[in-house]
Amino acid sequence: MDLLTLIEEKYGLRELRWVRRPEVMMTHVGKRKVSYWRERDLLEYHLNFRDRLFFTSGILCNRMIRTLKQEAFIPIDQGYLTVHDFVEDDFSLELYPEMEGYLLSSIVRCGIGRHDYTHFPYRETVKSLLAIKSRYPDSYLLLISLIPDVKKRLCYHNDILNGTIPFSSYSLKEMMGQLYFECSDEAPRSVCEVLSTEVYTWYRRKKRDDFNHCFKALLSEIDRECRSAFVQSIVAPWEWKTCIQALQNEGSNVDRLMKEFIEKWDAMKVITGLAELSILEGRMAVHE
Amino acid sequence: MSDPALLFQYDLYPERVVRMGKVTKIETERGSFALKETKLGKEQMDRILYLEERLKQLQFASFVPIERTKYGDAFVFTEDGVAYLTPWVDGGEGHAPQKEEQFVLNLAELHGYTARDQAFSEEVIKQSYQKMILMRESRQFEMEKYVNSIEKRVYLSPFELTFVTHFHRLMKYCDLAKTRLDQWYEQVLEAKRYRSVFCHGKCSLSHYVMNGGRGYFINFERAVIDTPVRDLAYFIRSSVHPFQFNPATTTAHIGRYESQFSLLEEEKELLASYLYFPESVFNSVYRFNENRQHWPHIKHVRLFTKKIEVMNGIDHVLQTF
Repeated sequence: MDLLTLIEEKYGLRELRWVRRPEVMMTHVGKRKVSYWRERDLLEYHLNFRDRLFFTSGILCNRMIRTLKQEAFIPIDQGYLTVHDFVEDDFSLELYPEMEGYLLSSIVRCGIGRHDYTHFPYRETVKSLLAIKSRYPDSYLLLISLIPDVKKRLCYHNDILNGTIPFSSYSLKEMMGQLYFECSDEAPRSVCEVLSTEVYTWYRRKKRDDFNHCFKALLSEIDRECRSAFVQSIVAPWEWKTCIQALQNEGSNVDRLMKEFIEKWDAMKVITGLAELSILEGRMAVHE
Repeated sequence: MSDPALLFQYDLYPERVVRMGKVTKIETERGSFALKETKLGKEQMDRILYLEERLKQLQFASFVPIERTKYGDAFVFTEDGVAYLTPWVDGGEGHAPQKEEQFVLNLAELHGYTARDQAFSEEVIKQSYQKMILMRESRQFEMEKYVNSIEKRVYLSPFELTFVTHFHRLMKYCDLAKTRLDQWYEQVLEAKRYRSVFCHGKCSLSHYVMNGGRGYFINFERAVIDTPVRDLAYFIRSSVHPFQFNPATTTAHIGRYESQFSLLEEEKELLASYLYFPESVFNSVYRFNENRQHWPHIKHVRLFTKKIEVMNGIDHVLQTF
C-alpha cells in the first residue's frame, strides 16, 4: 500500500501530499513530519522520553501523534513509522537566552532517576596517563601537573549524574509563542557528556551576560542535593580525561590535541568559578 | 484558558472563543468544543478515564466523552491545574420537566449498567454505619452549640432568628435520619447484601444536556463508586423547587427511576436517611458564619429559608416513602 494512503487510513488525516518526500507531508490540518525507525527499542525509548518530558516539564516537543486507534507508531516494511508536528518557526534565542539552560535542565531531570549517580573514572584516567609518559613526555608533565586542580574540580560531590538523554542535533522551534523542542531520532547520550559539552559550547558562543543567564537557568530549578551532583557533572575534568584518552591513540595530532585541551581547560576555570557561585547562592537561599 | 498552545495539542484553531461560566466554548472549523479547566488529582483523572472506558464497553451513550489530544492525552496540564476538552452539546433543548424525566431515566440507566454486588462484610457495613453516625452527630453538635450561643443574646439578627425558629424542626429531621439509618443498618445485616454503582457525584440538571431528543451527562469530575442512593439523593434535593414544590413530581421521579432500576428495601431506608439529614441547611449556617462570598445578610436569610422549604418538601414526600 502507498505510504500516504496508509497514513491517511491509520491517522484519519485527509488531503495528503508530499511536500518533501519522504519526510514532510501536507495534510488537512497542516504539515506533518514522518519519521522512520528500524529499532523498536529506540523508538519506544523516544516515545516514552518525549511523553515524559512533556508531562514533567510542560515543554512542547515532537511527540508521536497517535493513530485513530491511539497507537503511537505503525509497522511498515522495514521497521516503524511515526508522525509528528512540523514546526517551521525558529525559537528566538536572542530574546530568551536562558531558555537553553531551562530546556537542558528539564531534559536532564527527565532523563535521570532520583538517585541515579556514578563515579568520575579518576583512577582509571591516572593509570592511562602513566601509559603515555614515555611517548609524550611534555604533554605528560603538563597533564600530571594539573592533578591538584583536577582533584579540586572533583570536590563538589562524591558522584556525578548517571543516565542518558536524547540530546544530539536537536532544534529549537517556536509554536504559538512557546518553545518547541525538536528532538532528533538518534540514540541517547550520557548526561555528563551532554552537560559538559553544552555548557562549553554556550561559553564559546554566547555573550557573557547571556551565558550567565543560561547557566543560572540550568541550575535554578534543581534542589540542593541534586544541584551539587549536577555541578559536579559539569565541572568534572572531562577535557583532561578526553585528552589523555586521545593521546593513547596512535597517530594523534598531539599539538592540535594539546591546544584544544588548553583552550577548554581555561574556559572550564571560568565555568567552575560560576558553578561555585551558584552552589553558594543555593546555600544562601536555603539559609534564608 | 483558551491558550493557543493548549489548543494546538488538539489541532484546533479557534474562530470564536466564548466564556460560559466555568467552561469555555471554542468554535472552530471542525465544530464547537467545551474546554474545562479544573483541579483534578491523578486518582480522579484515572477514575474518569476508567469510567469512560467502562461506559463505552457497556455501550452506554448518554454521556459526553472527553476528546483526546493528537498525542492521545485525555487531560492537558496547565499552569495551575488540568484542562480537558469535550464536544460542545447545545443544552437549550427540552423544557425543565421533560429534561428532569429524561435525566431520571438516564441516571437509572447509568446505575443499572454499572451496578455491582459487593462482597458482603459485616465489618465494613458496621464501619460505614458508625462513621456516618459520628459525622452526623458532630454536625448536629455544632448546630446545638451555635443555637446555645445565640439564644443567650437579647437581640438576634434576622438569620439567627430564622435559625432558632427552625432549629427544633431541624433536630427532628436529624432524629428521623438516624431512625432510617438504623433501619438501613438492620436490614443490610439481615439481607447480607450491598451493591455499588458508578455515581456521577454532582448529579443535577446543570450537569446534564439535551440535544436531538437525547440526554447526556457532563462533568464526571466528582464521579465515585458508591451506593446509587448517593446520586439519587443529590438529584432529589437539587430538583425540589422551594415555594412551588409539588410532592407528586418527586414521587414520580422516584417511581420513574425505579421503573428502570429498582431500589432494594434497605436502599430505600438509606435514601430516606440521606434526604432527612439537613446537611445542606447546616452548610448554609457555615456559609453565613464564614461569609467568604461577602453576601449581604438578607441573601443568607433567603438561602436558609429556601433550604428549609426544600427540607419541608422532602419531608412531605418521605412521609409516604
